[in-house]
Amino acid sequence: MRHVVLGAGPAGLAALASIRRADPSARITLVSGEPGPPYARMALPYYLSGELSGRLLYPHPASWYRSPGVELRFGDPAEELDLPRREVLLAGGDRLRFDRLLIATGSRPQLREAPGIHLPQVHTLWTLADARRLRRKAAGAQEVVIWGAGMVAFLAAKALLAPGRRVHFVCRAEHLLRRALDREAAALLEQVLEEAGAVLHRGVNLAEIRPGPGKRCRVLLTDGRELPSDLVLVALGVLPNLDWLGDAPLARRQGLLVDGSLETSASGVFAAGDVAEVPDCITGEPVVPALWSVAVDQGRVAGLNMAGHRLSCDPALRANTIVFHRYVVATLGCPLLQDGTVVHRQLDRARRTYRCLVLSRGRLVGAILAGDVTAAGYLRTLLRRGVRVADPDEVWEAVP
Amino acid sequence: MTVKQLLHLDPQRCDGCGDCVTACAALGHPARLRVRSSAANPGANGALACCRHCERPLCAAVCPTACLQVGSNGVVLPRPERCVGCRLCLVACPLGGMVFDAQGKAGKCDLCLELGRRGHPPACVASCAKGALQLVDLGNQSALQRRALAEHRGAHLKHHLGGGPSRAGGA
Ligand SMILES: Cc1cc2nc3c(=O)[nH]c(=O)nc-3n(C[C@H](O)[C@H](O)[C@H](O)COP(=O)(O)OP(=O)(O)OC[C@H]3O[C@@H](n4cnc5c(N)ncnc54)[C@H](O)[C@@H]3O)c2cc1C
Ligand code: SF4
Ligand code: SF4
Repeated sequence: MRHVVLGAGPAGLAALASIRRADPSARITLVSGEPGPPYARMALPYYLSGELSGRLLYPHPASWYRSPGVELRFGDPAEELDLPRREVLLAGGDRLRFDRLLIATGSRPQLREAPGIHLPQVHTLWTLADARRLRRKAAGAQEVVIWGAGMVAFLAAKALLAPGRRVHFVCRAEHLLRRALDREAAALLEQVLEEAGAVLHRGVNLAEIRPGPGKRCRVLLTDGRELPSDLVLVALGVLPNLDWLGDAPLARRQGLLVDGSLETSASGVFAAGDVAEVPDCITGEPVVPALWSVAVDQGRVAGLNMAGHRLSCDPALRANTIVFHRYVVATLGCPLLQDGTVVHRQLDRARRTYRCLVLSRGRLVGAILAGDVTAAGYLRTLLRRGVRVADPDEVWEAVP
Repeated sequence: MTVKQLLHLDPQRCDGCGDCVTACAALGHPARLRVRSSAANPGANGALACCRHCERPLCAAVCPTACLQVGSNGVVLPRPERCVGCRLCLVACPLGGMVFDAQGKAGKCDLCLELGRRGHPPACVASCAKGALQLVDLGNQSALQRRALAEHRGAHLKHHLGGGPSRAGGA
Protein backbone atom coordinates (compact mmCIF):
# COMPACT_ATOMS: atom_id res chain seq x y z
CA MET A 1 0.00 0.00 0.00
CA ARG A 2 1.33 3.43 -0.94
CA HIS A 3 0.37 6.15 1.54
CA VAL A 4 0.88 9.85 1.04
CA VAL A 5 0.47 12.11 4.08
CA LEU A 6 0.20 15.79 3.19
CA GLY A 7 1.13 17.93 6.16
CA ALA A 8 3.49 17.38 9.07
CA GLY A 9 1.48 19.05 11.82
CA PRO A 10 -0.05 17.09 14.71
CA ALA A 11 -2.60 15.42 12.40
CA GLY A 12 -0.05 14.31 9.82
CA LEU A 13 2.46 13.09 12.41
CA ALA A 14 -0.16 11.16 14.40
CA ALA A 15 -1.29 9.54 11.14
CA LEU A 16 2.26 8.59 10.22
CA ALA A 17 2.73 6.94 13.63
CA SER A 18 -0.57 5.04 13.31
CA ILE A 19 0.03 3.79 9.78
CA ARG A 20 3.49 2.60 10.77
CA ARG A 21 2.16 0.80 13.82
CA ALA A 22 -0.75 -0.83 12.03
CA ASP A 23 1.16 -1.81 8.89
CA PRO A 24 4.94 -1.97 9.33
CA SER A 25 5.36 -2.80 5.63
CA ALA A 26 3.51 0.31 4.44
CA ARG A 27 5.26 2.76 2.12
CA ILE A 28 4.60 6.25 3.42
CA THR A 29 5.62 9.61 1.99
CA LEU A 30 5.32 12.50 4.43
CA VAL A 31 5.07 15.87 2.68
CA SER A 32 5.39 19.22 4.40
CA GLY A 33 4.91 22.57 2.76
CA GLU A 34 7.53 24.12 5.01
CA PRO A 35 11.29 23.57 4.86
CA GLY A 36 13.07 21.77 7.69
CA PRO A 37 11.91 19.06 10.06
CA PRO A 38 8.39 19.18 11.55
CA TYR A 39 8.05 21.47 14.55
CA ALA A 40 5.31 22.00 17.13
CA ARG A 41 3.24 24.93 15.92
CA MET A 42 1.60 25.26 19.34
CA ALA A 43 4.97 25.82 20.98
CA LEU A 44 5.84 28.81 18.77
CA PRO A 45 4.67 31.41 21.31
CA TYR A 46 7.11 29.95 23.85
CA TYR A 47 9.92 30.13 21.31
CA LEU A 48 8.93 33.71 20.54
CA SER A 49 9.08 34.66 24.22
CA GLY A 50 12.42 32.91 24.65
CA GLU A 51 11.06 30.40 27.18
CA LEU A 52 11.69 27.44 24.87
CA SER A 53 14.94 27.03 22.98
CA GLY A 54 14.64 26.53 19.24
CA ARG A 55 15.92 22.96 19.36
CA LEU A 56 13.04 21.90 21.63
CA LEU A 57 10.46 22.95 19.04
CA TYR A 58 10.96 19.63 17.30
CA PRO A 59 8.87 16.87 18.89
CA HIS A 60 10.84 14.02 17.33
CA PRO A 61 14.53 13.47 16.62
CA ALA A 62 15.55 12.71 13.02
CA SER A 63 15.79 9.02 13.92
CA TRP A 64 12.04 8.89 14.64
CA TYR A 65 11.26 9.46 10.96
CA ARG A 66 13.93 7.12 9.66
CA SER A 67 12.33 3.76 9.06
CA PRO A 68 12.02 1.42 6.12
CA GLY A 69 9.31 2.57 3.78
CA VAL A 70 9.14 6.16 5.07
CA GLU A 71 10.14 8.92 2.68
CA LEU A 72 10.27 12.60 3.64
CA ARG A 73 9.53 15.59 1.40
CA PHE A 74 9.96 18.78 3.39
CA GLY A 75 9.58 22.20 1.78
CA ASP A 76 7.84 20.81 -1.28
CA PRO A 77 4.13 21.68 -0.99
CA ALA A 78 1.42 19.86 -2.91
CA GLU A 79 0.05 21.96 -5.73
CA GLU A 80 -2.54 19.77 -7.35
CA LEU A 81 -4.57 16.65 -6.72
CA ASP A 82 -5.11 14.45 -9.77
CA LEU A 83 -7.84 12.13 -8.54
CA PRO A 84 -8.37 10.04 -11.70
CA ARG A 85 -4.65 9.15 -11.79
CA ARG A 86 -4.43 9.04 -7.99
CA GLU A 87 -1.46 11.36 -7.95
CA VAL A 88 -0.40 14.45 -6.05
CA LEU A 89 1.68 16.99 -7.92
CA LEU A 90 4.32 18.74 -5.82
CA ALA A 91 5.66 22.27 -6.35
CA GLY A 92 9.07 20.81 -7.24
CA GLY A 93 7.48 18.96 -10.17
CA ASP A 94 7.37 15.42 -8.78
CA ARG A 95 4.20 13.36 -8.95
CA LEU A 96 3.43 11.06 -6.02
CA ARG A 97 1.24 8.03 -6.70
CA PHE A 98 -0.97 6.98 -3.81
CA ASP A 99 -3.39 4.25 -2.82
CA ARG A 100 -4.35 6.15 0.33
CA LEU A 101 -4.00 9.90 0.76
CA LEU A 102 -4.31 12.01 3.90
CA ILE A 103 -4.95 15.71 3.52
CA ALA A 104 -3.70 17.34 6.72
CA THR A 105 -2.51 20.65 5.36
CA GLY A 106 -3.79 22.59 8.37
CA SER A 107 -4.76 26.21 8.26
CA ARG A 108 -3.35 29.64 7.64
CA PRO A 109 -4.08 33.03 9.17
CA GLN A 110 -7.04 34.85 7.77
CA LEU A 111 -6.06 38.26 6.42
CA ARG A 112 -8.33 41.19 5.95
CA GLU A 113 -7.70 44.04 3.60
CA ALA A 114 -7.10 47.32 5.31
CA PRO A 115 -5.12 50.33 4.15
CA GLY A 116 -1.51 49.79 5.24
CA ILE A 117 -1.84 46.06 5.91
CA HIS A 118 1.22 45.41 3.71
CA LEU A 119 3.54 47.75 5.62
CA PRO A 120 6.77 46.10 6.86
CA GLN A 121 5.70 46.51 10.52
CA VAL A 122 2.70 44.18 10.01
CA HIS A 123 3.06 40.45 10.77
CA THR A 124 1.22 37.21 11.47
CA LEU A 125 2.14 34.35 13.80
CA TRP A 126 1.53 30.95 12.28
CA THR A 127 4.73 29.33 11.03
CA LEU A 128 8.22 28.92 12.43
CA ALA A 129 9.38 31.39 9.80
CA ASP A 130 6.86 33.91 11.20
CA ALA A 131 8.07 33.31 14.75
CA ARG A 132 11.73 33.78 13.77
CA ARG A 133 10.93 37.01 11.97
CA LEU A 134 8.86 38.28 14.90
CA ARG A 135 11.60 37.43 17.36
CA ARG A 136 13.97 39.71 15.47
CA LYS A 137 11.43 42.50 14.99
CA ALA A 138 10.21 42.41 18.57
CA ALA A 139 13.65 43.13 19.99
CA GLY A 140 13.52 46.78 20.98
CA ALA A 141 9.80 47.16 20.19
CA GLN A 142 8.04 49.21 22.88
CA GLU A 143 4.54 49.46 21.45
CA VAL A 144 2.88 46.41 19.92
CA VAL A 145 -0.63 46.38 18.47
CA ILE A 146 -2.51 43.12 18.04
CA TRP A 147 -5.47 43.14 15.69
CA GLY A 148 -7.74 40.41 16.98
CA ALA A 149 -8.71 38.94 20.32
CA GLY A 150 -8.84 35.18 19.79
CA MET A 151 -6.53 32.39 20.84
CA VAL A 152 -3.53 33.27 18.67
CA ALA A 153 -3.92 36.98 19.50
CA PHE A 154 -3.83 36.09 23.19
CA LEU A 155 -0.81 33.80 22.76
CA ALA A 156 1.09 36.39 20.78
CA ALA A 157 0.40 38.98 23.47
CA LYS A 158 1.52 36.58 26.16
CA ALA A 159 4.78 35.96 24.30
CA LEU A 160 5.43 39.64 23.62
CA LEU A 161 4.45 41.19 26.96
CA ALA A 162 7.67 42.16 28.68
CA PRO A 163 8.87 44.88 30.99
CA GLY A 164 9.11 48.14 29.11
CA ARG A 165 6.73 47.04 26.38
CA ARG A 166 3.03 47.68 25.98
CA VAL A 167 0.77 45.37 24.04
CA HIS A 168 -2.52 46.75 22.73
CA PHE A 169 -5.44 44.54 21.74
CA VAL A 170 -7.79 45.89 19.10
CA CYS A 171 -10.84 43.85 20.00
CA ARG A 172 -14.08 44.25 18.06
CA ALA A 173 -16.06 42.41 20.72
CA GLU A 174 -16.72 43.45 24.29
CA HIS A 175 -14.18 40.98 25.66
CA LEU A 176 -11.27 38.73 24.72
CA LEU A 177 -11.73 35.17 23.46
CA ARG A 178 -15.42 35.61 22.89
CA ARG A 179 -15.75 32.24 21.15
CA ALA A 180 -14.20 30.37 24.07
CA LEU A 181 -14.99 32.30 27.25
CA ASP A 182 -17.97 33.94 28.85
CA ARG A 183 -17.83 37.48 30.23
CA GLU A 184 -16.91 36.40 33.77
CA ALA A 185 -13.92 34.23 32.83
CA ALA A 186 -12.72 36.75 30.24
CA ALA A 187 -12.82 39.53 32.84
CA LEU A 188 -10.57 37.55 35.19
CA LEU A 189 -8.10 36.82 32.41
CA GLU A 190 -8.16 40.41 31.20
CA GLN A 191 -7.37 41.63 34.70
CA VAL A 192 -4.24 39.48 34.80
CA LEU A 193 -3.21 40.65 31.33
CA GLU A 194 -3.75 44.30 32.16
CA GLU A 195 -1.64 43.94 35.27
CA ALA A 196 1.15 42.67 33.02
CA GLY A 197 1.00 45.68 30.69
CA ALA A 198 -1.69 44.83 28.15
CA VAL A 199 -4.09 47.55 27.01
CA LEU A 200 -7.50 46.47 25.78
CA HIS A 201 -9.40 48.54 23.25
CA ARG A 202 -12.85 46.97 23.28
CA GLY A 203 -15.65 47.39 20.79
CA VAL A 204 -13.44 49.03 18.16
CA ASN A 205 -11.87 47.91 14.93
CA LEU A 206 -8.73 48.77 13.06
CA ALA A 207 -9.39 51.29 10.31
CA GLU A 208 -6.00 51.93 8.80
CA ILE A 209 -2.26 51.64 9.35
CA ARG A 210 -0.11 54.59 8.32
CA PRO A 211 3.69 54.62 8.00
CA GLY A 212 5.91 56.70 10.30
CA PRO A 213 7.08 58.50 12.24
CA GLY A 214 10.53 56.99 11.70
CA LYS A 215 10.56 53.21 11.89
CA ARG A 216 7.17 53.20 13.56
CA CYS A 217 3.70 53.14 12.14
CA ARG A 218 0.38 54.49 13.41
CA VAL A 219 -2.69 52.32 13.86
CA LEU A 220 -5.93 54.23 13.35
CA LEU A 221 -8.97 52.86 15.15
CA THR A 222 -12.58 53.19 14.06
CA ASP A 223 -13.28 55.51 17.00
CA GLY A 224 -10.68 57.94 15.72
CA ARG A 225 -7.90 57.13 18.15
CA GLU A 226 -4.36 56.58 16.92
CA LEU A 227 -1.84 54.13 18.40
CA PRO A 228 1.85 54.56 17.56
CA SER A 229 3.33 51.13 17.03
CA ASP A 230 6.64 49.38 16.41
CA LEU A 231 4.96 46.12 15.48
CA VAL A 232 1.45 45.16 14.36
CA LEU A 233 0.26 41.60 14.58
CA VAL A 234 -2.81 40.42 12.67
CA ALA A 235 -4.60 37.52 14.37
CA LEU A 236 -8.17 37.42 13.09
CA GLY A 237 -8.69 33.68 12.95
CA VAL A 238 -7.71 31.01 10.49
CA LEU A 239 -8.86 29.41 7.25
CA PRO A 240 -8.30 25.79 6.18
CA ASN A 241 -5.42 25.39 3.73
CA LEU A 242 -7.42 24.04 0.81
CA ASP A 243 -6.65 26.47 -2.01
CA TRP A 244 -4.10 24.11 -3.47
CA LEU A 245 -6.93 21.67 -4.24
CA GLY A 246 -8.27 24.04 -6.89
CA ASP A 247 -11.47 22.56 -8.27
CA ALA A 248 -10.64 18.95 -7.40
CA PRO A 249 -14.01 17.24 -6.87
CA LEU A 250 -13.90 16.83 -3.07
CA ALA A 251 -17.06 17.81 -1.21
CA ARG A 252 -16.40 20.81 1.04
CA ARG A 253 -18.10 23.63 2.87
CA GLN A 254 -15.95 25.41 5.42
CA GLY A 255 -13.61 22.41 5.49
CA LEU A 256 -13.46 19.06 3.69
CA LEU A 257 -16.52 16.95 4.39
CA VAL A 258 -15.67 13.56 5.85
CA ASP A 259 -17.60 10.54 7.06
CA GLY A 260 -17.19 8.94 10.48
CA SER A 261 -14.00 7.21 9.35
CA LEU A 262 -12.61 10.59 8.18
CA GLU A 263 -12.75 9.59 4.52
CA THR A 264 -13.63 12.44 2.15
CA SER A 265 -16.10 12.14 -0.70
CA ALA A 266 -13.28 10.55 -2.75
CA SER A 267 -12.61 6.95 -1.84
CA GLY A 268 -9.19 6.38 -0.26
CA VAL A 269 -8.70 10.11 0.38
CA PHE A 270 -8.88 11.06 4.06
CA ALA A 271 -8.76 14.40 5.86
CA ALA A 272 -7.75 15.27 9.43
CA GLY A 273 -6.96 18.28 11.58
CA ASP A 274 -7.71 21.89 10.73
CA VAL A 275 -8.89 21.05 7.18
CA ALA A 276 -11.67 18.66 8.24
CA GLU A 277 -15.28 19.58 8.93
CA VAL A 278 -16.71 17.18 11.49
CA PRO A 279 -19.68 16.93 13.86
CA ASP A 280 -19.33 18.66 17.21
CA CYS A 281 -19.57 16.23 20.10
CA ILE A 282 -22.08 18.34 21.99
CA THR A 283 -24.31 19.88 19.32
CA GLY A 284 -23.84 17.47 16.43
CA GLU A 285 -23.46 20.53 14.17
CA PRO A 286 -20.67 20.48 11.57
CA VAL A 287 -17.62 22.44 12.77
CA VAL A 288 -13.99 23.04 11.89
CA PRO A 289 -12.63 23.06 15.45
CA ALA A 290 -9.03 24.02 14.54
CA LEU A 291 -7.69 22.62 17.80
CA TRP A 292 -4.50 20.73 18.52
CA SER A 293 -6.12 17.93 20.53
CA VAL A 294 -8.71 17.32 17.81
CA ALA A 295 -5.97 17.18 15.15
CA VAL A 296 -4.09 14.52 17.15
CA ASP A 297 -7.23 12.42 17.61
CA GLN A 298 -8.23 12.61 13.98
CA GLY A 299 -4.73 11.97 12.69
CA ARG A 300 -4.54 8.79 14.74
CA VAL A 301 -7.89 7.46 13.53
CA ALA A 302 -7.33 8.49 9.89
CA GLY A 303 -3.95 6.75 9.91
CA LEU A 304 -5.40 3.52 11.28
CA ASN A 305 -8.19 3.59 8.70
CA MET A 306 -5.71 4.21 5.89
CA ALA A 307 -3.90 1.09 7.07
CA GLY A 308 -7.08 -0.95 6.73
CA HIS A 309 -8.88 -0.56 10.07
CA ARG A 310 -12.49 0.54 10.14
CA LEU A 311 -12.72 2.85 13.11
CA SER A 312 -15.07 5.70 13.53
CA CYS A 313 -13.61 8.89 15.00
CA ASP A 314 -15.14 10.39 18.12
CA PRO A 315 -17.01 13.60 17.28
CA ALA A 316 -14.87 16.63 18.05
CA LEU A 317 -14.98 17.69 21.68
CA ARG A 318 -13.80 21.27 21.87
CA ALA A 319 -11.52 21.82 24.83
CA ASN A 320 -8.72 24.28 25.31
CA THR A 321 -6.61 25.89 27.97
CA ILE A 322 -5.57 29.50 28.24
CA VAL A 323 -2.47 29.95 30.36
CA PHE A 324 -0.99 33.27 31.39
CA HIS A 325 2.00 32.59 33.62
CA ARG A 326 0.38 31.18 36.74
CA TYR A 327 -3.17 31.95 35.75
CA VAL A 328 -4.96 29.12 33.96
CA VAL A 329 -8.38 29.01 32.33
CA ALA A 330 -9.96 25.96 30.72
CA THR A 331 -12.94 25.92 28.39
CA LEU A 332 -14.64 22.62 27.71
CA GLY A 333 -17.43 21.61 25.35
CA CYS A 334 -19.86 24.36 24.37
CA PRO A 335 -20.15 26.66 27.41
CA LEU A 336 -21.54 29.49 25.30
CA LEU A 337 -24.60 27.62 24.01
CA GLN A 338 -27.66 29.79 24.52
CA ASP A 339 -30.78 27.89 23.64
CA GLY A 340 -32.45 26.16 26.55
CA THR A 341 -29.36 26.07 28.74
CA VAL A 342 -29.10 26.53 32.48
CA VAL A 343 -25.82 28.04 33.67
CA HIS A 344 -24.47 27.48 37.19
CA ARG A 345 -21.80 30.03 38.05
CA GLN A 346 -19.54 30.34 41.07
CA LEU A 347 -17.33 33.41 41.09
CA ASP A 348 -14.88 34.34 43.83
CA ARG A 349 -13.48 37.73 42.86
CA ALA A 350 -11.05 37.92 45.78
CA ARG A 351 -9.43 34.59 44.98
CA ARG A 352 -9.91 35.12 41.26
CA THR A 353 -11.52 31.76 40.76
CA TYR A 354 -14.53 31.01 38.65
CA ARG A 355 -16.26 27.87 37.59
CA CYS A 356 -19.34 27.38 35.54
CA LEU A 357 -21.30 24.37 34.40
CA VAL A 358 -23.72 24.65 31.52
CA LEU A 359 -26.57 22.16 31.36
CA SER A 360 -29.07 21.55 28.65
CA ARG A 361 -32.06 19.28 29.25
CA GLY A 362 -30.33 17.88 32.31
CA ARG A 363 -27.09 17.06 30.51
CA LEU A 364 -23.73 18.70 30.86
CA VAL A 365 -22.87 20.55 27.61
CA GLY A 366 -20.06 22.88 28.64
CA ALA A 367 -17.85 24.12 31.44
CA ILE A 368 -15.40 26.91 32.13
CA LEU A 369 -12.82 26.88 34.90
CA ALA A 370 -10.64 29.84 35.80
CA GLY A 371 -7.94 30.07 38.43
CA ASP A 372 -8.16 26.39 39.34
CA VAL A 373 -8.49 23.88 36.52
CA THR A 374 -7.88 20.70 38.52
CA ALA A 375 -11.23 19.26 37.48
CA ALA A 376 -10.73 19.80 33.73
CA GLY A 377 -9.89 16.21 32.79
CA TYR A 378 -12.77 14.86 34.80
CA LEU A 379 -15.26 17.31 33.31
CA ARG A 380 -14.01 16.53 29.83
CA THR A 381 -14.90 12.89 30.39
CA LEU A 382 -18.37 13.79 31.64
CA LEU A 383 -18.90 15.94 28.55
CA ARG A 384 -17.70 13.22 26.22
CA ARG A 385 -20.17 10.80 27.75
CA GLY A 386 -23.09 13.22 27.74
CA VAL A 387 -23.70 12.59 31.40
CA ARG A 388 -26.91 13.59 33.14
CA VAL A 389 -26.39 16.00 36.02
CA ALA A 390 -29.18 16.48 38.52
CA ASP A 391 -27.33 18.79 40.86
CA PRO A 392 -24.15 20.71 39.89
CA ASP A 393 -22.77 20.36 43.42
CA GLU A 394 -22.73 16.63 42.90
CA VAL A 395 -20.23 17.15 40.08
CA TRP A 396 -17.85 19.26 42.17
CA GLU A 397 -18.09 16.84 45.08
CA ALA A 398 -17.16 13.92 42.86
CA VAL A 399 -13.84 15.41 41.79
CA PRO A 400 -11.06 13.97 43.92
CA MET B 1 6.30 -2.10 27.93
CA THR B 2 3.53 -1.75 30.45
CA VAL B 3 4.04 -0.70 34.01
CA LYS B 4 4.52 -3.51 36.55
CA GLN B 5 2.96 -1.89 39.55
CA LEU B 6 -0.05 0.23 40.22
CA LEU B 7 -1.10 2.46 43.09
CA HIS B 8 -4.44 1.29 44.41
CA LEU B 9 -6.82 2.97 46.89
CA ASP B 10 -9.32 0.96 48.88
CA PRO B 11 -12.08 3.54 49.27
CA GLN B 12 -13.66 1.67 52.18
CA ARG B 13 -10.51 1.87 54.29
CA CYS B 14 -9.68 5.46 53.36
CA ASP B 15 -11.03 7.98 55.88
CA GLY B 16 -9.83 11.00 53.93
CA CYS B 17 -7.15 12.04 56.45
CA GLY B 18 -4.80 13.23 53.67
CA ASP B 19 -1.61 11.81 55.18
CA CYS B 20 -0.65 10.42 51.77
CA VAL B 21 -1.01 13.84 50.17
CA THR B 22 1.19 15.40 52.86
CA ALA B 23 3.79 12.63 52.51
CA CYS B 24 3.94 13.10 48.73
CA ALA B 25 4.35 16.87 49.04
CA ALA B 26 7.08 16.35 51.65
CA LEU B 27 9.24 14.92 48.85
CA GLY B 28 9.70 18.48 47.62
CA HIS B 29 7.12 18.86 44.85
CA PRO B 30 3.39 19.57 44.75
CA ALA B 31 1.45 16.48 45.84
CA ARG B 32 0.99 14.13 42.92
CA LEU B 33 -2.13 12.45 44.23
CA ARG B 34 -5.46 13.48 45.65
CA VAL B 35 -8.00 11.29 47.43
CA ARG B 36 -11.69 11.45 48.15
CA SER B 37 -12.72 8.94 50.77
CA SER B 38 -16.08 7.22 50.66
CA ALA B 39 -16.04 6.95 54.45
CA ALA B 40 -15.99 10.74 54.70
CA ASN B 41 -18.55 11.09 51.89
CA PRO B 42 -21.11 8.37 52.57
CA GLY B 43 -22.88 7.29 49.43
CA ALA B 44 -20.15 8.53 47.11
CA ASN B 45 -17.47 6.40 45.53
CA GLY B 46 -14.06 6.92 46.99
CA ALA B 47 -11.49 7.93 44.46
CA LEU B 48 -7.83 8.36 43.85
CA ALA B 49 -6.65 11.05 41.45
CA CYS B 50 -3.19 9.99 40.38
CA CYS B 51 -1.36 8.86 37.25
CA ARG B 52 -1.99 5.18 36.35
CA HIS B 53 0.76 5.01 33.70
CA CYS B 54 -1.53 4.07 30.85
CA GLU B 55 -0.33 1.78 28.11
CA ARG B 56 -1.40 4.36 25.48
CA PRO B 57 -1.24 7.56 27.51
CA LEU B 58 -3.64 10.26 26.32
CA CYS B 59 -1.47 12.86 28.05
CA ALA B 60 1.58 11.96 25.98
CA ALA B 61 -0.35 11.72 22.70
CA VAL B 62 -1.63 15.27 23.01
CA CYS B 63 1.53 16.94 24.33
CA PRO B 64 2.75 19.29 21.59
CA THR B 65 6.42 19.09 22.55
CA ALA B 66 6.65 15.34 23.21
CA CYS B 67 7.52 16.19 26.79
CA LEU B 68 5.79 13.11 28.24
CA GLN B 69 7.47 9.80 27.48
CA VAL B 70 6.77 6.18 28.35
CA GLY B 71 9.97 4.84 29.88
CA SER B 72 11.32 1.35 29.34
CA ASN B 73 9.68 0.37 32.67
CA GLY B 74 6.28 1.61 31.49
CA VAL B 75 6.33 4.65 33.77
CA VAL B 76 5.11 7.79 32.00
CA LEU B 77 7.28 10.78 32.92
CA PRO B 78 7.83 14.36 31.75
CA ARG B 79 11.07 15.81 30.46
CA PRO B 80 10.73 19.15 32.25
CA GLU B 81 12.91 21.18 29.88
CA ARG B 82 10.34 20.48 27.14
CA CYS B 83 7.23 21.45 29.09
CA VAL B 84 5.66 24.76 28.05
CA GLY B 85 2.90 24.51 30.66
CA CYS B 86 0.01 24.44 28.19
CA ARG B 87 -2.04 21.95 30.30
CA LEU B 88 -3.34 20.02 27.30
CA CYS B 89 -2.21 16.88 29.13
CA LEU B 90 -4.21 17.83 32.20
CA VAL B 91 -7.36 18.22 30.12
CA ALA B 92 -6.72 14.94 28.29
CA CYS B 93 -6.22 12.77 31.39
CA PRO B 94 -9.52 11.49 32.82
CA LEU B 95 -7.83 10.33 36.05
CA GLY B 96 -6.36 13.56 37.35
CA GLY B 97 -2.82 12.32 36.77
CA MET B 98 -1.16 15.62 35.86
CA VAL B 99 -0.06 18.15 38.46
CA PHE B 100 1.79 21.43 37.99
CA ASP B 101 4.46 23.15 40.02
CA ALA B 102 4.76 26.87 40.77
CA GLN B 103 6.75 27.37 37.55
CA GLY B 104 3.88 25.82 35.58
CA LYS B 105 5.83 22.68 34.69
CA ALA B 106 4.11 19.33 34.44
CA GLY B 107 4.78 16.67 37.03
CA LYS B 108 3.23 13.34 37.92
CA CYS B 109 3.51 10.33 40.15
CA ASP B 110 6.61 8.29 39.34
CA LEU B 111 5.66 5.48 41.76
CA CYS B 112 8.62 6.63 43.89
CA LEU B 113 10.98 4.68 41.66
CA GLU B 114 14.00 5.97 43.54
CA LEU B 115 12.67 4.76 46.90
CA GLY B 116 11.71 1.47 45.25
CA ARG B 117 15.27 0.88 44.09
CA ARG B 118 16.36 1.16 47.71
CA GLY B 119 13.70 -1.34 48.75
CA HIS B 120 11.21 1.15 50.22
CA PRO B 121 7.53 1.51 49.42
CA PRO B 122 6.27 4.79 47.90
CA ALA B 123 6.01 7.64 50.42
CA CYS B 124 2.20 7.76 50.22
CA VAL B 125 1.84 4.03 50.83
CA ALA B 126 4.25 4.16 53.78
CA SER B 127 2.31 7.06 55.30
CA CYS B 128 -1.12 5.43 55.16
CA ALA B 129 -1.82 4.01 58.61
CA LYS B 130 -5.15 2.56 57.49
CA GLY B 131 -3.60 0.40 54.81
CA ALA B 132 -5.92 1.98 52.27
CA LEU B 133 -3.19 2.81 49.75
CA GLN B 134 -1.21 -0.06 48.30
CA LEU B 135 1.26 -0.65 45.55
CA VAL B 136 -0.19 -3.59 43.68
CA ASP B 137 2.14 -5.82 41.72
CA LEU B 138 0.44 -6.40 38.39
CA GLY B 139 2.78 -9.26 37.51
CA ASN B 140 1.31 -11.39 40.32
CA GLN B 141 -2.30 -10.84 39.34
CA SER B 142 -4.48 -13.01 37.16
CA ALA B 143 -5.81 -11.48 33.98
CA LEU B 144 -9.18 -11.12 35.69
CA GLN B 145 -7.73 -9.28 38.66
CA ARG B 146 -5.77 -7.04 36.34
CA ARG B 147 -8.96 -6.17 34.49
CA ALA B 148 -10.72 -5.43 37.78
CA LEU B 149 -7.86 -3.14 38.78
CA ALA B 150 -7.93 -1.39 35.45
CA GLU B 151 -11.63 -0.82 35.86
CA HIS B 152 -11.08 0.49 39.33
CA ARG B 153 -8.93 3.17 37.74
CA GLY B 154 -12.12 4.65 36.35
CA ALA B 155 -14.29 4.04 39.40
CA HIS B 156 -14.70 7.67 40.31
CA LEU B 157 -15.81 8.36 36.78
CA LYS B 158 -18.42 5.63 36.83
CA HIS B 159 -20.13 7.37 39.69
CA HIS B 160 -21.44 9.74 37.05
CA LEU B 161 -21.31 7.64 33.98
CA GLY B 162 -24.36 5.53 34.56
CA GLY B 163 -26.48 8.49 33.57
CA GLY B 164 -26.86 8.27 29.84
CA PRO B 165 -25.69 7.09 26.47
CA SER B 166 -22.17 7.77 25.42
CA ARG B 167 -21.63 10.62 22.99
CA ALA B 168 -18.52 8.85 21.74
CA GLY B 169 -18.82 7.72 18.15
CA GLY B 170 -17.04 4.39 18.60
CA ALA B 171 -13.30 3.73 18.36
C1 LIG C 1 0.83 30.27 17.66
C2 LIG C 1 -0.22 29.21 17.72
C3 LIG C 1 -0.67 28.75 18.95
C4 LIG C 1 -1.65 27.77 19.03
N1 LIG C 1 -2.08 27.37 20.26
C5 LIG C 1 -3.04 26.42 20.35
C6 LIG C 1 -3.52 25.99 21.61
O1 LIG C 1 -3.08 26.47 22.66
N2 LIG C 1 -4.46 25.03 21.65
C7 LIG C 1 -4.97 24.49 20.52
O2 LIG C 1 -5.82 23.60 20.61
N3 LIG C 1 -4.54 24.88 19.30
C8 LIG C 1 -3.60 25.84 19.19
N4 LIG C 1 -3.18 26.26 17.96
C9 LIG C 1 -3.80 25.66 16.78
C10 LIG C 1 -3.10 24.34 16.45
O3 LIG C 1 -1.73 24.56 16.32
C11 LIG C 1 -3.70 23.76 15.18
O4 LIG C 1 -5.05 23.46 15.42
C12 LIG C 1 -2.98 22.50 14.78
O5 LIG C 1 -1.62 22.74 14.53
C13 LIG C 1 -3.62 21.89 13.54
O6 LIG C 1 -2.91 20.77 13.15
P1 LIG C 1 -2.88 20.24 11.66
O7 LIG C 1 -2.04 19.03 11.67
O8 LIG C 1 -4.26 20.16 11.14
O9 LIG C 1 -2.21 21.40 10.80
P2 LIG C 1 -0.92 22.32 10.99
O10 LIG C 1 -0.31 22.19 12.31
O11 LIG C 1 -1.33 23.66 10.53
O12 LIG C 1 0.10 21.70 9.96
C14 LIG C 1 -0.13 21.77 8.58
C15 LIG C 1 1.01 21.10 7.86
O13 LIG C 1 0.70 21.05 6.48
C16 LIG C 1 1.75 21.57 5.73
N5 LIG C 1 1.19 22.11 4.48
C17 LIG C 1 0.45 23.24 4.30
N6 LIG C 1 0.10 23.35 3.00
C18 LIG C 1 0.62 22.28 2.37
C19 LIG C 1 0.60 21.82 1.04
N7 LIG C 1 -0.04 22.49 0.06
N8 LIG C 1 1.24 20.67 0.75
C20 LIG C 1 1.88 19.96 1.71
N9 LIG C 1 1.93 20.34 2.99
C21 LIG C 1 1.31 21.50 3.31
C22 LIG C 1 2.39 22.58 6.65
O14 LIG C 1 3.71 22.84 6.23
C23 LIG C 1 2.32 21.82 7.96
O15 LIG C 1 3.35 20.87 8.03
C24 LIG C 1 -2.20 27.23 17.85
C25 LIG C 1 -1.73 27.68 16.61
C26 LIG C 1 -0.75 28.66 16.54
C27 LIG C 1 -0.26 29.13 15.21
S1 SF4 D 1 -1.39 11.18 33.33
FE1 SF4 D 1 -3.38 10.25 32.93
S2 SF4 D 1 -3.33 9.77 30.72
FE2 SF4 D 1 -1.22 10.13 31.35
S3 SF4 D 1 -0.42 8.08 31.82
FE3 SF4 D 1 -1.16 8.98 33.75
S4 SF4 D 1 -3.28 8.27 33.95
FE4 SF4 D 1 -2.66 7.92 31.80
S1 SF4 E 1 1.72 21.09 29.99
FE1 SF4 E 1 3.77 20.36 29.46
S2 SF4 E 1 3.63 18.11 29.55
FE2 SF4 E 1 1.53 18.92 29.49
S3 SF4 E 1 0.97 18.90 27.32
FE3 SF4 E 1 1.76 20.95 27.73
S4 SF4 E 1 3.96 20.82 27.27
FE4 SF4 E 1 3.20 18.71 27.43
